[in-house]
Amino acid sequence: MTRASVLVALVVALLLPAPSEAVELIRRPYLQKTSETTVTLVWRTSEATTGEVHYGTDPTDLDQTATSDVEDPNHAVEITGLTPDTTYYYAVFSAGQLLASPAELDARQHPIHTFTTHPPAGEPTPFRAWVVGDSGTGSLRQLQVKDAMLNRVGPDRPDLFLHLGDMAYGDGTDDQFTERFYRPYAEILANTPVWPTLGNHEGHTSNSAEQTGPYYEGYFLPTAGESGGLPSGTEAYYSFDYADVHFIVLDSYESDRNPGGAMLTWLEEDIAATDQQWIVAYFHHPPYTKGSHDSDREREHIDMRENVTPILEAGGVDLVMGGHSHVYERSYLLDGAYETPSTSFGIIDGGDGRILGDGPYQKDPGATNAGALYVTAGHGGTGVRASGEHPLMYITEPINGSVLLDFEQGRLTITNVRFDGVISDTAVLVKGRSVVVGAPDGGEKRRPGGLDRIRWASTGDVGDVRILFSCDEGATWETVVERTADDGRFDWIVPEVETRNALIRVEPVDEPELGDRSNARFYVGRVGPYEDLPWQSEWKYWDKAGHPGERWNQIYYDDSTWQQGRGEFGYGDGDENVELAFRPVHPSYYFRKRFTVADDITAVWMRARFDDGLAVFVDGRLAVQVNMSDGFGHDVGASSPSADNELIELPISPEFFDVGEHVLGVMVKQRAGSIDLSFDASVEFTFSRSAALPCGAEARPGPGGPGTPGCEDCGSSLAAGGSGGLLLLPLLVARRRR
Amino acid sequence: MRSPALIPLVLLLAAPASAHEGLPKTLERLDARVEASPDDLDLLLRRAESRRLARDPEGALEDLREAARIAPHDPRIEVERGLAHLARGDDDAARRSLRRYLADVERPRVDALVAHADLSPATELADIERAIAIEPSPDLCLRRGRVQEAAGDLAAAACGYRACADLLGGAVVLRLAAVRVDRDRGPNDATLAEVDALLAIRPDHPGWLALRADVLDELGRGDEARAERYAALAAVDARLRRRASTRLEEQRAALVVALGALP
Repeated sequence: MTRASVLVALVVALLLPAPSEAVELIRRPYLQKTSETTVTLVWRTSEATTGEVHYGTDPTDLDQTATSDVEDPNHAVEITGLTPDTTYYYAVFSAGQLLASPAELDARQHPIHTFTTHPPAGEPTPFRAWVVGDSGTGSLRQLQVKDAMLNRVGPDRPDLFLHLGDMAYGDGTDDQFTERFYRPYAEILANTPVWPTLGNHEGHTSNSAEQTGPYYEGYFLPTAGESGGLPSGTEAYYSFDYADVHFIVLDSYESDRNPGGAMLTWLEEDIAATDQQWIVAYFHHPPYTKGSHDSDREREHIDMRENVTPILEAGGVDLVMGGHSHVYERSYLLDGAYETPSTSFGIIDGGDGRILGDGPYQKDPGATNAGALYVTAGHGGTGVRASGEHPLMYITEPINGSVLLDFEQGRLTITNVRFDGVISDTAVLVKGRSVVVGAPDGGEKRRPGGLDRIRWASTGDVGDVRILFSCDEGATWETVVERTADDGRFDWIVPEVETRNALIRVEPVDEPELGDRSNARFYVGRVGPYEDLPWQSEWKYWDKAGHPGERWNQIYYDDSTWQQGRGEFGYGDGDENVELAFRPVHPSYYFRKRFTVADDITAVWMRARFDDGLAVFVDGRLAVQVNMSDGFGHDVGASSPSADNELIELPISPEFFDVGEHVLGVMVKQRAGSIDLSFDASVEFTFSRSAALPCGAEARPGPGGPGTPGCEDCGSSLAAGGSGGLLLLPLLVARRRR
Repeated sequence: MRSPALIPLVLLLAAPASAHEGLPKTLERLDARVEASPDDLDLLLRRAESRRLARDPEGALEDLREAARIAPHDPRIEVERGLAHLARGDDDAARRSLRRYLADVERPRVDALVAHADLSPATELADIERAIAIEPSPDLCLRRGRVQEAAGDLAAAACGYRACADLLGGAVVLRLAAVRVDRDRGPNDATLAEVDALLAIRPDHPGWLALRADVLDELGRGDEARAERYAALAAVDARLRRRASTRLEEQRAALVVALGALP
């Protein structure tokens, strides 16, 4: 197909309805075996056809072509000769029919069909990896985990997708892979290469010794060191390089885990051969866990701990991850904890690793046996459970979610993103001396003119620091303060600007290269949305057996006899902050929350966890109901059961919320025969307009402000105690996050 | 975030929620389908395999008896029967079934060949050879080589390692095995070529530079060996600046000693 005909085909395909006999995509395109100069594009069609990929750096001019001439429903087209660290757009054709277009955007307006080659190995390019384990249920929870990650990162999408195994329950069959892996993640897989490891459920139908079965047929993984690392000769275990990180992927289920076996011999050679700054290893069975599996009792875990971990630590590994155990666990900084059963022996830094807590973990660059973090992330979509608390783990959380890894210069940040959007753990590992920004660190919202505290931590003596603010994702920087003591905190007045691309940077005055910036963008503005009613807010509640009175959900109601507490409310699950009365079990529980709306509201978004029935009233008017079709009577139970801690997210009409005082009244109903009940909620409000300047707009005097300062005055005007002055642009130019 | 102090309570009470589909679920589904179609051979075979994986070899054998009633000569029944006997610890019966299966089919399952090799030392080499011909892997190639080495057939072992390495994308484990065996029997130019193939992947690999020096020494090329050791020493020092490790320190010490200086 010529270039012109590709453009014509793209246009025609976008304009015309698909013919009825059209070839269909069974598996949308996904990226495999990426490297600095190559990528393999894989897809499956409903019929045996040939395949063609058109690609280029300009989405309107796909000037290069790669083809697969074999007629087959499974297509794998390897593209070579690419430029490192470059984004390409692509279109996929089968039988001359356009199946994937570079013009397609996902629901978040992100282009779907792109691929980006690896940055050069050894270069400390910032990047992000998404880590998921034990996800392949095809359930709503699996999708919520994915969506929570996408909401967290915004446009700063992960560059890599690392899967820790068990991606297609229950047996890793071909259909299960299609329905529970390729389909739910299609819009991520199309632009983010996935690097998997075999889980035991895939092992039911795939065979590492034979390299057969749906796992090995679907994945194209390096065997000859094609993506960095040493040739392993098998797809069961392999390694690859990305920027300055060396990733090692092992098979903890089917390959020989004994010293002297092929896998461990290869591992010793591979880890000894890498010069990369960071080393990350992952496999399905983690060395330390007390989740749904016990690493002191099960052979695979014990082998990985006793045989593999010593090799990894002697080779300088920084992070080791596994799934299998359906829980999130993150360790202290460890070295040498090889014994069975595990004890607390081996903890070399017993802090929390948090910037705003005990500070980051630290190790010297290039050191071996100097400490590694261990993460169990088997919480990607299946039922979660913890059987205890492992002595080497700082945190254990049996709640679904996934993990983000952010590598930037000498820092690795590990973030656990729960399915409900809560960031329940963030740990930082720093190599050498460094500054690490703790707050705002991404995702926060700040109202202009408000007093806020910038927080950071430093490792080693870095001297005084300079603080900078960017409203355009780091394209330009404004000085907040030119020099302040490295004491980890600085109070400032949030500038009068409206931007979703705000970043803070803190850098040593004398060695700015050791500085750090917010891990992701935060919001400054008045529009919001603001979660003015967050999870775990204080509510009045009524859990007595008797009815609280007909007007319980009205503003003018005396709730002084009600009790007060913070969510989550309920009983029977063990995760409640307030345990409600349940002897005897009664069908209805009531909650009230008063609040005042000060500005015009354009949108309201409510999220609630509940079990089993839920009705939400605003000033007595019904706004939301779930499982309440048997009515709102006090003695009536929920009409249907919910899932445990079911999460709903839905809009409420802003017409309910005019300026003034309001009350949210919530009725939660028990279902006959159920032994648990739950309720908590958060509400986000979006306000109608902002008085603040858009980022990049010409500065003008703000309310009560001193007038437009010159650029040289901007920094001091942002510091606390200033007059809440204005933001001026642009000053320093810094690198952009990839 | 839930504070760590709260965790033990939460852990003990955390709801298991809806667990993923595992073997029990698969078996439940298969039970229903077998009940609906009791003469479906494929279903019976699938359930037999699932029962075996679920540590119910007796149940698997029951299904296989039923399957044999439908298709007495289907080789899939025999192999599954062998594996089920193996799972219940009846090695003799497993060996008999697997032998019958391996004699019957032209391209047998690799796991059946490996299982038969485990049970039958007399045919181990032949079984593994046959498995490698079907689907080579580093594990199988190493196993064949070890059998050959144990039998004193070093030439065949080295040759096998080399052939497998070429076949499997230059797997370093196999190249190193070939070099090791070559050196045991007296290295030659092919040994040096094997080391060079490794160095083509990582030219500054200190261990492989040192290995090349050792091979050169064994080939009587002392001057070249000495030069190679200096190159290895420089590579070790460069690597130590980047990432210090006990292994590298040991390599350095060995090189210094070999070069005639005190460590």
